Amino acid sequence: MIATTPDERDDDFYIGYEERMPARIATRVSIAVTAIAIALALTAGVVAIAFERLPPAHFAYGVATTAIGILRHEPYPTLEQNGRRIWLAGRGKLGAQNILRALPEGPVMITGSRVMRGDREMLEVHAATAGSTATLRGEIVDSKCFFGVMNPAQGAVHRDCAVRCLSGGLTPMLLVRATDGREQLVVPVSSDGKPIGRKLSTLAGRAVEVTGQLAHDGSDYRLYADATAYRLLK
Amino acid sequence: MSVSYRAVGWNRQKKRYDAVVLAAVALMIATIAGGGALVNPNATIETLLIRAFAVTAFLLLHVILSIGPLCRLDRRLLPLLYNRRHLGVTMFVVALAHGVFAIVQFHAFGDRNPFVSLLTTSSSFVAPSGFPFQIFGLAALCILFLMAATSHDFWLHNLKPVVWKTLHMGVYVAYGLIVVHVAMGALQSDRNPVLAVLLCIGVAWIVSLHLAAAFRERRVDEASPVMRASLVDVGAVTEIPESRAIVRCVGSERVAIFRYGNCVSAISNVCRHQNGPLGEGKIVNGCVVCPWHGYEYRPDTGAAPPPFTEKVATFAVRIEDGRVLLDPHAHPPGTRLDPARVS
Repeated sequence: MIATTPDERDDDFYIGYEERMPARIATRVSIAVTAIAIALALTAGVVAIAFERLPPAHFAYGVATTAIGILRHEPYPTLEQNGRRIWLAGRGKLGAQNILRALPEGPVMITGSRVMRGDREMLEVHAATAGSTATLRGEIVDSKCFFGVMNPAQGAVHRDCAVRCLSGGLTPMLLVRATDGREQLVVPVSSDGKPIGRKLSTLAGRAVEVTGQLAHDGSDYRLYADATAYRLLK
Repeated sequence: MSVSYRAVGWNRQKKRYDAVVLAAVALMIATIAGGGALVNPNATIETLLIRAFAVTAFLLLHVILSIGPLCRLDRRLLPLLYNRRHLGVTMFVVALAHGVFAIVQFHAFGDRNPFVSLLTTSSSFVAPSGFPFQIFGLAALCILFLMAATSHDFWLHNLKPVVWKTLHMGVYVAYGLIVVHVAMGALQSDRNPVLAVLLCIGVAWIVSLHLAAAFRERRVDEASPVMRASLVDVGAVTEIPESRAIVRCVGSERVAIFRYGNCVSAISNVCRHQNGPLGEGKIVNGCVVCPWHGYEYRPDTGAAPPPFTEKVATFAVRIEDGRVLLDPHAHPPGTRLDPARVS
């Protein structure tokens, strides 16, 4: 017969609701708790280190960005921007189709949060608006001269310089004068969002009229119209 | 012990216990999430938190499952058991945080109800790549919830100890489910062998600890008491230390035989509170005190002192020639029997 007679060494008796536990039990428990804490901390540390290293990826949650470009619905929603493709997604685990369904393919302005992995970019679409059809009258200027390299940098005197600048690849701008006299610069791009500066070079420095899709990216207006849509007024 | 129900019967030991538990939880979450962010800066905060809650809860479960057998092997560790239910509830809360974060991260904001998605998205029990490990985690969480929700003595009293204890043995089912959840989930997408080795060490630790404690218990239960007519010779009276007991397995029941002063009394070894081993208790101020949670019984009546109402069965004993003879027939709980006198 084997008895469970208490060991003489541990006659101390622990009662949980007493103010203090016996000293020898307290020592034993302290050692055990310390050992458990060390084991837990070490295990937690090893686990934290052992998890697979993850590649760079970023979601700018809560940070809204505005982008304009050409909306494509098929096969999946994308925004084409100067030859670059930005994939479009809806919020959460939903596609962007519901938000974009009402918009025709073409120039749009989209507000959303950027998602990036490597050189791939996506926008989680919060809002999207199509460019509005507008007919503008103005003068095509080259941005470098107009911004300050020359002043004045428009009109017949500057025309040849503007032709050379646009022919050389500088960014074109359409200088539009509103009825109240204020000037507004509009960036011309083709109907599918590509640069058309060289094609517009022969029209530089002259009054033109053009009809296209006008969209605003938060800082600039962009006019989506092919070079053939520009008509000389005089 | 308490005659009325309170949310928590706070005392100094419980406060210290809980403080240590909360500090350990904070340390583990900080280590896993903070350390993870340092070595894995591209991980999102949601991923770090989901991992931190998961690992913390799983490690706490190992601690919880270790406490029982550790106390069987070394009674000086019984303070670890005293407030184990708070540790269990804490573990459940951390596991729940893991579950909520995981459901939101992986199933919410989609085209289906998150819970429908959780239950239906993965459904192949054959292919590891489509194994529904999430369901195992959810089932474990449900068991842990039941245990946490019924951890209060109110439920122990109303469900009765046998039902309550059976329900709470479900922790082993939950542990098994979580092992499958981890093995078929996280370890399938993160193939670092260190993680698999750690899981195996954890399982081996729990199993070996329980086997060691079981073998120790078995040695007691397998001992055959010597029969004398209708009485059982449970040993010499000198074997019983003052204010302590020896435990003998009589039939299918363990009996605790206490010696106090020149008296010897026998009561059931099973505490009415949580089936604690009364024979490992001690007589303090004239009452047998359960080593688990301090429930008290008078050794001659098996009844708790007023105003408490718990009662355990009593057994008649007598002493002949320095030997303690026990009548193996249990008397109804609370029946007063004269103690045997040591001459």
